[in-house]
Amino acid sequence: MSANEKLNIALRQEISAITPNRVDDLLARLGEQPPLSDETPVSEIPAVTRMPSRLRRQLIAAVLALVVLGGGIFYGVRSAQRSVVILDADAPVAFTVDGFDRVRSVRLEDSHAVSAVDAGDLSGKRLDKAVAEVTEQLIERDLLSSDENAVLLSVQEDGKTRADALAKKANNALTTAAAGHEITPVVVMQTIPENASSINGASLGKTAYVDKLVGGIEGKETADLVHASLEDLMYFSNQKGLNPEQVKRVGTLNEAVYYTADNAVAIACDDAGYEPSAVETSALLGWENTDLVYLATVNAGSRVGYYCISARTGEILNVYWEELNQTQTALDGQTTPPTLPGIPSNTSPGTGLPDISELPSMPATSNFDIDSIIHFFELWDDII
Amino acid sequence: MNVQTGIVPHADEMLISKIAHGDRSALAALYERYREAVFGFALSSLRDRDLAEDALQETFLQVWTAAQRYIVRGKCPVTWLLGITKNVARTLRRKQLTLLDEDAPEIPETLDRYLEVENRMVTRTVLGKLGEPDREIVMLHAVAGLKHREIAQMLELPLSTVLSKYNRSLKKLRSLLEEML
Repeated sequence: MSANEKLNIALRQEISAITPNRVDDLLARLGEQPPLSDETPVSEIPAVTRMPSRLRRQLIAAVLALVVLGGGIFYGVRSAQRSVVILDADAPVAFTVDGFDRVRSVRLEDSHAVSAVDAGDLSGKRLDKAVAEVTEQLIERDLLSSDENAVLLSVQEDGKTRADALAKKANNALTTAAAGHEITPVVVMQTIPENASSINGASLGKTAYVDKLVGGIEGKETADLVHASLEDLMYFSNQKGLNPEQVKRVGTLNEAVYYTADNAVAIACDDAGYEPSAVETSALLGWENTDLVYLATVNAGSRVGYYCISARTGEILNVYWEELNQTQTALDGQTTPPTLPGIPSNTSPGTGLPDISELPSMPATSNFDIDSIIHFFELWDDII
Repeated sequence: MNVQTGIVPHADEMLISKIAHGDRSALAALYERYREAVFGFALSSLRDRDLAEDALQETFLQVWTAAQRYIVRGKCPVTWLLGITKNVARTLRRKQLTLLDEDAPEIPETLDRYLEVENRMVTRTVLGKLGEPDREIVMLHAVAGLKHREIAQMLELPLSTVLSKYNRSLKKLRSLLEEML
């Protein structure tokens, strides 16, 4: 019962209690009734003038018919609307949603999603409920955790207002479900056009996101990184200051799981047997295929070591030592240095060292990749 | 059923029809049914207990004589009845020796004391803190059970005015009563 209703009841009760009942006094004061007149009565109820009831019924029926028709049209239009909301925590799930925010169908967009998500009961549910259920499944399968907390939320919908509303609804459901497990996800939200396409079997959302990022990554195309992990992509974009305009980010990536550039230098020096302060070092963040790695260099003066170190695990994936200012004698009998994949080992002694100034210099790129290094050494091979 | 209009009269209209034919018990029945609505409305208009009681009696005396002029329209005749009360209250107000300011912030002391003794906090607040026609609107809706549209016609006010005054009044009452508790 509302407060107003309670107030009205209280007032009614109070008035009832204080109203006198003097019906006897009233009846005692009544005089004789004047005789009934044949004249038409002239007093009228000061009430609303009502239209004849038949017309009134017809009008009500017409209004009801219009309401039903209007409601039917409204329902039909809203029901036929279709938008797609893709929830991707490296296991992309695409919800096709109608105008009432009900899930009409669910698509598991890659093998990870197929193995991780049971989409059987999701059709027909409200979007927020479906998102919450999928989030619970992702957490259960450790695809979403405190360490792996990146989620990509993509909405395929041309209307901006509708797209924003769907993104907000899905984000709220996701973060609420995750909060129940004390997980705070970092959610990247984007809108993708209706004619968007995917690459190499990746989800539409991931393709669109990587597409936005690669513009700031020299030497890389969407296809190169579309299967990189979301966390790695986000970490890389954080470190490089890549902030595509069409992407909104809510939350903070757990960067503590990543090795820093200083860590990579320390690992390389430790392996090389040098103190970091005694040598020249550098570390650049880049990509080895779809793995996020550091290229750490250790320049000891007479030799330079190139270390490829996983940014996630700190594992040394590859190392190559280059001896600088080598003499013929120094080269003879020397053990073939470990080679990077695809590079033939240079076992034939040369007729003499070329003038170093004629050799191509190391490509000066801040976004190196191993392919560039390989290519660089291939050039050395050709010349030598 | 009224042959002319094809309308089935309301039960109260049957009573009025009997009253028109001199049936005293019908008048007593109508009095029993609507004395609270009439008294409450008269009290909200006059803010004087004695005058409100007089208005109550005078209303039904007039019903006794006016019943013959009542036209059956198939609708609850409360608004007709309260229309009579409104006219009676207007007449009584003109006869009052003390001029009552319509926007007087306080109700007469005798009534205030009476309501205080009887612990009628809501009625005291309605009569003491609401202006005219706000207290009439509240009383007509809460006690007489009139719809806002009927109140608007009776008080000759726009419907939107009645609705907004009603809502504001209830809000004010809730706030004042919460402070008192």
